[in-house]
Amino acid sequence: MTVLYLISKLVTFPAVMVRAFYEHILLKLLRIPVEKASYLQFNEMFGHTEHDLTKTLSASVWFCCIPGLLQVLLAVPMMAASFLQLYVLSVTPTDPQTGSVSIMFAVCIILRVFGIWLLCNVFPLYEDALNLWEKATQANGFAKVVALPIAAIVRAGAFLERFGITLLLLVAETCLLFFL
Amino acid sequence: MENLERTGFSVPKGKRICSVCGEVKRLSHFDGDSDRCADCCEKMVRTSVKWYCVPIALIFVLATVVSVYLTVITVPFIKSLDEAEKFAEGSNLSDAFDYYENNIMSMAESIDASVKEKLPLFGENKFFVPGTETFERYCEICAMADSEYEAGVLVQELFDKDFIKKNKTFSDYVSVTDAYDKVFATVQEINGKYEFTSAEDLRYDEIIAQFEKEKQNTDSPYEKGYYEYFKASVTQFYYDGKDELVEKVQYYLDEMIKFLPNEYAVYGSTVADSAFRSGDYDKAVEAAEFVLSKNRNLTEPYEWLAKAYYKKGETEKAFEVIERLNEAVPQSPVYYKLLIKYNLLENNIEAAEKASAEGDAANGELCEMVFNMYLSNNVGQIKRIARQVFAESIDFKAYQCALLLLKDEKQKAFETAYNDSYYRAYYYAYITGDTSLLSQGVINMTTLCAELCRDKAAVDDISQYGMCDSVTEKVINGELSFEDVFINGKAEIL
Ligand SMILES: [Zn+2]
Repeated sequence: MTVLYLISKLVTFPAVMVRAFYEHILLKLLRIPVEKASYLQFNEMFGHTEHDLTKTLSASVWFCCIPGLLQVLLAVPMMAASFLQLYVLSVTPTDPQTGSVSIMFAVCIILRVFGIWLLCNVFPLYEDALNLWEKATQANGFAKVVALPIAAIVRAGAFLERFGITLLLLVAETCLLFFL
Repeated sequence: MENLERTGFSVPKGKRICSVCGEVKRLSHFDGDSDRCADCCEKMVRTSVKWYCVPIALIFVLATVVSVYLTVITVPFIKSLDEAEKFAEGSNLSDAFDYYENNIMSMAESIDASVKEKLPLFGENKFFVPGTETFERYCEICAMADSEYEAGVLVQELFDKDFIKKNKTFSDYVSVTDAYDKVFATVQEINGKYEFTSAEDLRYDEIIAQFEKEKQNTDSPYEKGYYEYFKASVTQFYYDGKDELVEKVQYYLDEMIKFLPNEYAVYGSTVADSAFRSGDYDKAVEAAEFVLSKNRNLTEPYEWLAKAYYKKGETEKAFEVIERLNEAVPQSPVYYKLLIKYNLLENNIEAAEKASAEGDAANGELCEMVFNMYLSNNVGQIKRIARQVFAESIDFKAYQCALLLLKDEKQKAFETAYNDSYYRAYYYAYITGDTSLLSQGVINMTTLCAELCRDKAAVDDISQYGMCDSVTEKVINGELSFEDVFINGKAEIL
């Protein structure tokens, strides 16, 4: 399974780096000790900094959600713009009117690739997600009500990302839309 | 630590070994039960981030900014496509087609121009393009609103040849156009072999057999369809005015529509034409309603309906139809023309005059504007719009002349006929090579007015494009009065 994970991280390499960068900054802000400040370890830690588990629920929520939210925030406009152009308007690789290469098509393909890269790197390491889940289940009252759904989503997402399934889904979606 | 303990090393009381630096320190150096000393913890918290990730992040941010911009310019464009769809859903196909032609295509161009103005990176290449989906719908609407033949012409006008070859939908339209042209050429050739000038010396059965043979020889369903259409045309010529006409024409057209389902307009107009020739007005009504059920924006079916009801003596219904036209195509010149025509036939000159003035107010400026655009050589862009605007207002103006003649304003009638009707049709033909707007009605009316004003030069000018018919000559000679042709309905010149 590490192989699948590594492949999915290698093909989305730039977004992996950006996510690791966000995580690292958050770790510093939350004052969590970092064992190894390298983003590029060729094992299941690829793209993640080795760090202690977060100690409080709020720190867990911040740590698990902020980098992902940033990724999504950047990715959504890319996916939307390329969706409108490539699928709603069906912009083709060549411009129908002049027969020359379509700049819009090239731009939208780049945007879609960027978007997929980012969306494949939304969730934290599975260990961090489990940590959040435990903290959320142990919490009481209002905190539990708020944190539990978030923890569930993060856990499920981290599970999918662990096996590179998000990448497969996004690539499948992109191809499928072209045939529809 | 376990190792250290196993070797017998013992940590003094009140101290602890740091698992990172290995030093033995006092408990106050440790936070809670942590096995790292405060110094080591601080070091681990203060690891430096990899700043080379910042440019990568900035590239993503830039891409996001571009995406937001793209979305902002694309959404209004997609909304305008929905607008056209609303017309299409209500069977207002011509409105939908106009919307594509005049709003959507120019919107795409202005978006592209404004992008290039802000970012002069793309040179001559287009950046914002309407997209194949948009073009497909545009051509589909054209096929439904007009005909597949016209869609083929449009496709050839719009697209690059290689692109058409690669796209089946577009190349299909072109095959329809090619099929028609091919069949038309073959039909001309066959007709050429049989010299005939009237229905009497037409060897009908032989010609139909020849068409049938050609139809069997081709695999193209479009060509088969058009052979059926030409069979109907020849039948119309041969059986003109006879009882069995409508039935026979209908048979061939039913065959045609199986191969060319979008040719309902041709279907309807041919059936209606046959029905009028044989006096079967109910059939004409049926044909008109059939076409309107497909596209309620076409103006001709309303003309057939008005005419059919008038001939059946149901004048009130004829006027209802004219109002129906105004609902489907507001303020069309055809509407005002029909109002003039049928009010004159009802001898209601006052109402006809009102319609004439209203028609000028509604469309005069538009026609003037399109004509001036023509004069300023802005041709490509307005060619299609111009045809309809001109065809309808030229017709309207001819009826306005009828009204002026009845009021004995001959000079004014001549000026209207010559400048607003004839000259515009002439200029359109001069630019596009399409002489169909110089109709018999226009030539009749302009010749009549020129003769009445004794303008010999104008008469000669017009005669280059056609002679007036025998009814008009009778009016010129005084054998028929204006009342006979415009009010009593004894004969028609328009
Ligand atoms: Zn230490």
